[in-house]
Amino acid sequence: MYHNSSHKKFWIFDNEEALELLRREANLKAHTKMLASAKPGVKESMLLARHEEQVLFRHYEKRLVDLCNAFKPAMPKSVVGTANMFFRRFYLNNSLMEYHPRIIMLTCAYLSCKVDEFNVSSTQFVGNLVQETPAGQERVLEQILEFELLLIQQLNFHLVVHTPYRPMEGLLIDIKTRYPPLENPESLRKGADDFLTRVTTTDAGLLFSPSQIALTAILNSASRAGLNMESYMTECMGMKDHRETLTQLYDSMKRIKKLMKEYELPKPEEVNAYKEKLERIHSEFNTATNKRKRGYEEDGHVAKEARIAEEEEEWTDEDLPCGYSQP
Amino acid sequence: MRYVPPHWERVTPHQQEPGPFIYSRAADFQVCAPTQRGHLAKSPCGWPAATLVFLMPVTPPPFTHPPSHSTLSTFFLFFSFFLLFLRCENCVDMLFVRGSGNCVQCDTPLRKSNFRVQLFEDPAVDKEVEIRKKVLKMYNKRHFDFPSLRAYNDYLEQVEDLVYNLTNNLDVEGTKLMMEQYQRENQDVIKRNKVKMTREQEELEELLLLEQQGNEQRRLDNLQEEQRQLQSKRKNKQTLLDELERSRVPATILLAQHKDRVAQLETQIEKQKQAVKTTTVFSTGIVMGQTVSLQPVAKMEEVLYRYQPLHIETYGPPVPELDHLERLGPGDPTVAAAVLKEDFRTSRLLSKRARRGLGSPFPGRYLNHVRAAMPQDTAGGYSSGLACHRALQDAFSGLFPGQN
Repeated sequence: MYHNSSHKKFWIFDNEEALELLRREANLKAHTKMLASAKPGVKESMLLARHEEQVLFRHYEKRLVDLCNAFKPAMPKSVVGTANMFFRRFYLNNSLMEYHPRIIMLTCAYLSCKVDEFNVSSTQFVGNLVQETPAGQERVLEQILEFELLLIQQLNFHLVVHTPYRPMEGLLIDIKTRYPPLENPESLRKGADDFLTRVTTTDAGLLFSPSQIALTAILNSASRAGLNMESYMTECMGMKDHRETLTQLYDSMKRIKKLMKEYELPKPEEVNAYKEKLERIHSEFNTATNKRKRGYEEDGHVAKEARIAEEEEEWTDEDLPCGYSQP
Repeated sequence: MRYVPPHWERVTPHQQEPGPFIYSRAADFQVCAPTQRGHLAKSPCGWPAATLVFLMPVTPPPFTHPPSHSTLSTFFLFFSFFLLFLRCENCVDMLFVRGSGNCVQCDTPLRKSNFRVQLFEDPAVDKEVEIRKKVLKMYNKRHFDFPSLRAYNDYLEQVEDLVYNLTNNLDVEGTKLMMEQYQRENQDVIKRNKVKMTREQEELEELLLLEQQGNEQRRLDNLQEEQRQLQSKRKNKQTLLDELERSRVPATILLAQHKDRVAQLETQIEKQKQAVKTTTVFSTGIVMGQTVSLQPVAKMEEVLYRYQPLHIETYGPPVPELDHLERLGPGDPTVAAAVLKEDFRTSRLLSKRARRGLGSPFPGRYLNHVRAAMPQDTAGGYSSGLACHRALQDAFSGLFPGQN
């Protein structure tokens, strides 16, 4: 249950500033590390600044969601939410320059399938990367397995993520049972679902409890339909006598909505520019990602190496599969 | 002289196989074998119940064979041994039907009383014990017969030498001569000490007897006491029965009286027992119950467990109980009242309708809004209430901000 989970204990932060601080710190750490270790001729300008990182993060997050939505067999929403949360939590303490988001996002999706009991085999999983050749898929799989443990470690082994979908169902049941004034509660579902889909791409999951997010979704949907559910809050939730709590709750709802309003898709030209930068950083700095991969291949895959290197270039050019799902 | 194998080569009788007759290695004086061997070969039993040590006077080498009475002084009769191990008690009995017989080879008279049951595994030890007993009969001086401790120790050393020599056949002749001489010289002392020893022995025995008598007395006392108690209890019961039969007083009062009496009796007995206990003292003189250890025993402070109902902070509104989901939603006031009153009519109505496959007649029922469990789902213990409860819990958990 949420109230005694690691989710509540370790992964809910007070405010947006705290998150920003952590991310800035991770960015700074990567900067110093690279400047200290790298060869001569490295300039600060080559590295990604914090806001650039943020743009790329948004981009890859979008890709992650798209991949999940295009997944076959259809992925439950809670799996998508979990994957997204893993991705967010991972880059809270790590920089995109250290670990390439392309592979991390795949690993997040793969791990969330396991954690949320959505049973797909590993070959089935990489089978969804339709733009890859079978050999390429195998290679991606190897990488995923390689990064899986790192991801789990970076998540501090807190793997259970509470998504707002079940709370939303619970609230709907409760409304149907205890709030007869509302004639057709099912009509709220669509709006709430949309809300929850959009909210996954914000930091709301790191700031608010899933039940709060779910309630916000339902109230939002109701207000769009022109319904007032104030009495539900006061009568059924028993908040009649706790005005303070109620105002606080309304306040957090406002914050969630604000977060969603602030979200905007990254501009393609910006993304392309920063992606180039990112690729350069990863190829030049021989970061952990590359080192690890090479070491692994030296173990016994020497024959493959040339071909792999070639393919890798190919793979780097155009990122992952989602083109196929978007009409 | 025969070869004496070192002790590690010696075979104890019990390790030997039944069959050929075997003498103990201790029997290295002289072997009087043929007859016994022949006899034992015919023995009906394969393996002995007891091993017997046969002690018999034997002629020492310098003397004539067979021994004459002149050479066989009493001394030699005592100290020349021939140890023979017979395997079977029955065989020994048969050998000496008449109580005594002669050795066929050397014609030495053998007496049955000279057979000993072997006590120790190593017959050499048996032999030594036998010898020591005899030597100490003669060498019975004690430390206050000597002017100094040194002299006494020398004397003890000498005795040990004698025993060792005789046991291991070293200079048997010289040893025997020495002993003879000693006997002659100290005749008075030996006799006197013998008398003294017997007196001491008697005293000791008297003491033991006294103690035994005391024990017996105590046992009898205890027995009597118990008898008395039993009797009084029986009497008590009898009086109760009699009273119940005759008296007009209500039975409850009689019973109470009886109970009182029983309790009294019990306390009395308890007191007596305690009185006995307090007087008992350990034989060492330490009073019973007294703690000998110097450190006081650490007292354990124990607090009894008290049940406290589990309280879980959910940081949200209260969640309806799992049992109540099946029944009625708490939203409707009438419904809530019914739930609170544990209304049997309502619940009966509900169960009846459920049997007919109908839902609740009341709108506010949580389970009306969840997919009903298929029969195949319920096999594993699933019920729609579980899913519903979980969703509700998740919906309410952590809903209130500012408290987490």
